[in-house]
Amino acid sequence: MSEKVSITINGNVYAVDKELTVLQTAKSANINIPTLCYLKDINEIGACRMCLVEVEGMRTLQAACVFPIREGMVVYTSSPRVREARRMNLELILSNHERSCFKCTKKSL
Amino acid sequence: MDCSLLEDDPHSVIEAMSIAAYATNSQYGYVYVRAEYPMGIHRLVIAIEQAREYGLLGNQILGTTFNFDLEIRYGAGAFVCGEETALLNSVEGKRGEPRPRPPYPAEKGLFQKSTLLNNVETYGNIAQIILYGADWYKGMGTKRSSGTKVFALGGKINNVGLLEVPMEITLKEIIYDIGGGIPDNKKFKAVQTGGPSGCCIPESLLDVSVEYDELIKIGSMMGSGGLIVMDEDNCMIDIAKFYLDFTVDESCGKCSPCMIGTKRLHQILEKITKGKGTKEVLTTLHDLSIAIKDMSMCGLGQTAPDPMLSTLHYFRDEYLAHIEVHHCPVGVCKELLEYTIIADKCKGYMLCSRHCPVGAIKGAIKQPHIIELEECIKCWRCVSKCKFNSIVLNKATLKGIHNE
Ligand code: FES
Repeated sequence: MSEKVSITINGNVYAVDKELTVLQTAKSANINIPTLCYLKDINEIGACRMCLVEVEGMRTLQAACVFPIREGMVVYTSSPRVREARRMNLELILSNHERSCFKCTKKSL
Repeated sequence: MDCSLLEDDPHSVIEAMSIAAYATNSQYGYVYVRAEYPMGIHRLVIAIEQAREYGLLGNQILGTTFNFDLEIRYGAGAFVCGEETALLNSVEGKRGEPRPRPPYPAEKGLFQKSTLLNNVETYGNIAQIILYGADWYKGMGTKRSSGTKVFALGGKINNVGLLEVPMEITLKEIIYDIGGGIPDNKKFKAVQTGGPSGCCIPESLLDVSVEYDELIKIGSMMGSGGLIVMDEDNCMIDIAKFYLDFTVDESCGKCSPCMIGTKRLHQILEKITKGKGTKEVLTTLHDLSIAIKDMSMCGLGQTAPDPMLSTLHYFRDEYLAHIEVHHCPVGVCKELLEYTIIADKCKGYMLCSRHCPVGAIKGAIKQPHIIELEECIKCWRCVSKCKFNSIVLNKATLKGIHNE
């Protein structure tokens, strides 16, 4: 039995395993956090910055997919600051994209 | 600055590292140096060997049970490897990219072991503090930032070089008393602190003292201790573009805000310096930089927009001049200048008109030529070809308010 810690996400308190990341905790609580580069156990590098969340006490936004939880942590996954940042980030990523998505062979329908 | 310490007094770094190792009970240390500092490395290698000879490194140092040894790791000169986690990756032999934090290096650092990581300059202070006591050290500088700091003074200043000052000193004193002011009696415009990601401080704020907190309060930072002075001949947008150019190059490309965002900022500035900016662009610049600062993974991205943000804040009228009246107040931005031929000097050799890619230069042989300004693409080619220096660049004629 692994240790439990309590963490507050968007005002609700959850008691979860100590080893989880913020993203996994949110998933288990049915809170959606968008991800792009995260692939469980294969790619956990926190590079695309789509999964940014606001963590109380941290100066900048943090990538939920690699941020380990700790006791008493307070997280906001959908504050205006977070949504604004994610929108800007997606815009940036798209600005670097071929944008012929309709004929792209990589798309899966 | 750190290089000068390694060159002049490598022993102090070795001594401080073994003190730190003793305090944290660690047995192995690494010195990470850029391979581009051959002199520093050379002297450090000698110093380490000497320390081993005297039994100050190795097993059972000074007859105690404490063992400590040092190894030098060479960096390939990436700017991002100054960031602690990227540095750890680089020491491990991986790509110099930052790691997500937490876990911090103190918990899981080099080879997943807890690591103490400090700057060479920090270590340079340790032996002195132990020797003379903490009170002696605290006696210098201010309460929150004690001790001294080494700055590298450069740019448009009379006395260029390294200087070590107590932290309470003001920027004004550094620039005018120690630096000897601006050459050629030019007017001071701004000073950029903290290396390529610090902010540009205007004249009105020169009275701040160089302390960590004070500099952060005005949006800048101490950083590496670089101080670059700019005079009235510097176009602040050009400066912002220059620094962004550097960060675009040096961004490791791991996280998207820093990799793509800095590139976009640079493109916008490029547009402004070509007179193609619009007023809305200023809001975009501001919002985008704030977002990049908030989203990036490491210190590089979090501070990369700072030089630009500070110029946008303190020198907004210069941005407006570029945008609204397509005028560079100091005449640095090449694309905003007008090319004209001085009729008296022109001998009509047709060299310029033959080399003009758009045929904008008109005139018969042995007759003074003229440049059709509408057609001119400001490529500089005619200027470089003319043997009589008869083509001059004028600041574009002003139509608007920003007459200087
Ligand atoms: S999903 Fe890419 S950073 Fe978290």
